[in-house]
This record gives sequence, C-alpha cells and structure tokens, in this order.
Amino acid sequence: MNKSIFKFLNKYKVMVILVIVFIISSVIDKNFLTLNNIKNILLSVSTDGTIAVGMTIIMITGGIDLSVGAMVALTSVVVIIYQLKWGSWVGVLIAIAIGLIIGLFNGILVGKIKVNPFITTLGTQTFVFGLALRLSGARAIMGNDPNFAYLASRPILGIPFGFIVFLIVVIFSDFLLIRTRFGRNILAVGGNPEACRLSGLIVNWYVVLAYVFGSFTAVLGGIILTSRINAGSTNIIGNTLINVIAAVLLGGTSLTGGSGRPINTLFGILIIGIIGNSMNLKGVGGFAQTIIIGFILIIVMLLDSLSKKATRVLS
Amino acid sequence: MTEIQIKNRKNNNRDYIYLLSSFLKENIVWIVVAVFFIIFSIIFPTFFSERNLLNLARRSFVVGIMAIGMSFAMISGSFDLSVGATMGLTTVIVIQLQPSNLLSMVIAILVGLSIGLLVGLVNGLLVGRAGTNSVIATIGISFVVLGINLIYTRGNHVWIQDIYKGFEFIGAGSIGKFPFPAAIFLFIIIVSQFVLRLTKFGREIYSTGASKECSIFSGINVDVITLKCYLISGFTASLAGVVTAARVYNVDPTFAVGTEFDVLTAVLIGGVSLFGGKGNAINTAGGVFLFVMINNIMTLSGMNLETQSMVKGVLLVIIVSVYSLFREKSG
Repeated sequence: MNKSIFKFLNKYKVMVILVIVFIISSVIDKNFLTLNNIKNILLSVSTDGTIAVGMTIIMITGGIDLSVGAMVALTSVVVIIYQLKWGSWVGVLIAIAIGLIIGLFNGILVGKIKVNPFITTLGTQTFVFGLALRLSGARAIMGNDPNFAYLASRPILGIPFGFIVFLIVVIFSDFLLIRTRFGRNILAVGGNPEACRLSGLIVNWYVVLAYVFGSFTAVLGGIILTSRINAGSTNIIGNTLINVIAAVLLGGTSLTGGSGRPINTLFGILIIGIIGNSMNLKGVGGFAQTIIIGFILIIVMLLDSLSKKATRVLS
Repeated sequence: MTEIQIKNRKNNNRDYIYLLSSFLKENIVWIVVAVFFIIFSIIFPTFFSERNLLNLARRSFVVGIMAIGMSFAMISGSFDLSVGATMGLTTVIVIQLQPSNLLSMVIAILVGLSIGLLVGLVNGLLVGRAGTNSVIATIGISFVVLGINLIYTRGNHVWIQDIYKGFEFIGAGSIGKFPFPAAIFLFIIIVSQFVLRLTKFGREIYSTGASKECSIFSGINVDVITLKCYLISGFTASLAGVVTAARVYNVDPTFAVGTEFDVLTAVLIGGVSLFGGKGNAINTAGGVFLFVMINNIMTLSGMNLETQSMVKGVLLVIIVSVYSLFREKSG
C-alpha cells in the first residue's frame, strides 16, 4: 500500500509539485488568482517553455545545449534588424535559417565527431553571443512593426497566441516522441546508443536532428520574446538557460538520457513561471530572484540524483 | 650472444626515440607556445617589446591561477564553472572591506579567501557526496553567487577609497622588473606540479579522474578527493579575486561574468582531458600563455571585444574537436 503511494507520487511528482505551488501562491497573494495574472503567467512561460521542449529532446538523447540563451539574444537582434530593412516575415525567416544552421553545427560536432556536448555548446554560446553583440553594436534596437509587436500577446479564445505556439510545440513533440517510430528510436538512442547501433539504427543522425530541433525551438522562443518586448537586444535573455534546465529536470527528464516527456516539461516550466510570478507579486527584487532560481536548480538536481540512488537501492 | 647485444642496442635506440617522441607529445603545448611566440614576434614588432611582455606576464596571472585550480577539478573528472562568479564576489567583498591599513588588509584577504573555500565546499558536497552533474550544479551555484554579489553591491560600482601600500604591492608591485602577481603564479605552478606528480593525494586525483569505479574498489575515498579538488579550485578563484582587487581597486560587480569560459579554454589548450585523469600544472601554464598570447595579439591588431569573443568560441570548439578526433583514433 505504502509502496504504491510512493510509486504514484514518484510518477506524477511534477504535477503534485505544480498543484502545491499553485495553492501556496493563491493563498499568499490575492492578486494571483485573477484572469489577467494567469494570462500573464501563460505568456511569460511560453518563451522558456518552447525552448525547454527542444532541450527535453536533446537531453533525452543524452546531450545538452547550453547555447540556447545566446540563441535567444541572436534571434531578437536578427529579427529586429531585418524587420527594419525588409519587414517582419523576412526577419523571422532569416532567424529560423540561422538557428537551423547553428543547430546543425552543434549536432554534427556532438553526434558525428563525438565532442563533449557541454563544451561544444559552451563554445557555440560564446560565438553566438559575440555575433549578437556585434550585429547589435551592444545597443537596444526598437522594432517598428505594430503587428509583430502584438503577435505574441494577441488573444485567441482568450489565450495569448505565444502560449498557443508553445502548446502546439509541446503536443507535436510529445506525439512524435511517444506515438511514432521516429520518437521511440530517439528514446532508444538516449537509453543505449551501443545497442541501437548494433540493431541497425543510424544513431548519429538522431542526435544531429535533436540538436537541430533544439535550436529551432530556441529561435521560436526568441521570436515570442522579441514580439513581446518589441526590441532587439542582447540583454533580454536574463535567466533563460537556467530556467530551461530547471524546468526540464523538474519534468523528470534525466541528464543521462533515455527518458522524459515534453508534456512533463510543460508542467515543469509552469512551476518555474508561477514561482517567478509570485516573487514579482510580492516585490522580490531581480537579484534575489537570480539566487532563488539558482537554489531551485540545485534542489531539483539533488532530488534527481537522490531518487536515482533510491531506485537503485529498490531494484 | 652478439646477436642479443645487437638486438638490445636496437631496442635501446628505439627506446630513446620512443622516449623523445612521448616527451614531445606530452609537452606539445610548450612547443606550440614557442612557435607562436616566434611568429608573433616577427609579425608584430610591438609584441616583442619589454612593456608588452611584462604586461603579458601580469595579465596571465588572473586566468592562470584559476586555470591551475580548475585543472585539479578537471583532472579529478569534474567541471567547475563557478570560478568566474567566485572571483567576482571575492573582489567585490575585498574592495568593500576597504583595506586601508595592515589589519584591515589581512582581514579582507582572509575573508576573501574563505569565500572561495566556502563555494568550493558547497560544490564539492553537491558533486562529490550527492553525485549531481558537475556542469549543471556549478552553473546553478554560480547564479547563486552572482545574485549574492549583486544584492551586496546593489548592482553599483565599488572602489577602494584609501588603499594600503602593502595591498597595492600584491597587485601592482614587482620584484626587480618581475611583476609580483606573476611570482605568485609561478609559485603556485611549482607547488601544484609537486602535489599532482609526487604525492599520494596527487596520484589519487589522477586515479579518480581516470576511473571512479576502479578507484572506489581500490579503497580511495572518491567523494573526499572530489571535495578537496573543488576546495582547491574555489581557493584559487578567490586568490585571483584578491589580486584583481589589489590591481584595479575599482570594479563593476558583473566584471567577472564569463571568466570561467576563458579559464576553461586555457585549461583545455594545456591538454587537461575533458574526461579526467590527464594533464598537469606545467602544461596548463603553457595553455594559459598560449591563450593570453592569442588574446594579446587580437587586441594589438585592433579587434573589437565582440569579435574577440567570437574567435574565442570558435577556438574552444576547434580544440575540443581536435582532441575528440585524436581520442577516437587512439581508441
């Protein structure tokens, strides 16, 4: 009996944590449970959430992408610069193209040449951020297209469009991962690459595709953020990287690869978003929030490694 | 009998060649340093001036001493990406303690160094005892440390109002013409090389990095080794912070963000393996010199900071790719 409760809690722990965080937040501030505030949370998590979905896929293959924060900065700068020249759609398309190229670069280095993913993407991050700084001249550039500026927050059936994009990405990748052969192969590649290679899968290309998809979602998240802020600047990235990693780990995806679901990452990012929102409502300063988000990441990692130890003991 | 003698002599010859080639292979970074040094001296006349070389020696200290500490962590098989934030916090706190006389200087230095040890302790417990992934854990810690730094300074510039002469010497003084910080760096290289190569602790570090399982089975307390390596890494980071405080005594609280990236690049150039168990302090110093030299050349040729950052990113990726390709070849 006790064991089954433990198992249930372990399986749905991210939802349990989400419910607890939600209840606590509604109790400590009466402004939390208003329609506007909920909409605000949904919109604010869509950037980091979209990126976290891509990161989930990458982490399932056993890798990681530390360059996503810099990708958001580059996207914002590129979109706005080309918006001023040739219009929003051109800017968006160029940003996506650049994202795909960088994802391919990361993927080939990690998947084909077998370079350590942490260090590869750390190098890419420095390069991409330098590029963004150079293009923008370290200034904030304002956008001039009101339609684009309204894109992410435009409500469709009351839900902001940015969140709908995020939701579509989640549902698409969850379906892909769980229901299709392609997705099952990705899970298998993360779990045991050697066995996959021996059973005839082209392991390397699954890894490459995961990185391309990761960069694509990073650009998508960047576009949502750029639309909300309507400016091209390298300063907009904030805590993106650490939020994303915390959300993915909260969703139960392990750093060693082989397991995880995008839908759980959705719950993970909601937890992070709600905590951030209640800190804002309570007037906690940005610097203190940096500390708290760092602590959350560390606690999540501790829980992850402790639960791994516990399951090893149980089995 | 003569046949055996001839055979022996042949073997001996081969041994010498083998020894020579393995010696060259192990110290390849110093050969590259020498080659680059000569090329740069020929191309850029300003490079080989006394002023620039002394400046180079001074500049190499901050990255260098942190690189030695990070080498310990990486040889034992874990990353430490919190060194930049640790150095930043130390510098800021040492400056805010206003070392205006001998007593306040000693207190400031002791407090500064204990910050590094504290961060190292937390890192070590997280990675060693709790077994979390070292990259993510130390990134998380660096956010916490940076946040503390920003709250402490409220995001404002800090400076020393009335600096004690002895404290100034730590950062800007020189023995003859040799800069004092470089002397500290040299001392730390020698001590680290001794510890790594000639003590039981050093051998245990290599063993832990090469194979955790084997080390556990041969009775090495892997958790404690990891903890000690993080303590060393944190200590050197805060030492670099103290010297920075003494050298510039006027900083922006976020000045050290991203330093860990430079340090990591230098360590990897120096031949410390990403997977642990390889590398030594002298070669890390070679990596530092090469890195600082390339930086210096980029500045001398008038590249702006953004381009430099792009070049550094590409450099790191190339280095790790080359190492990975070699590793695959050698099996």
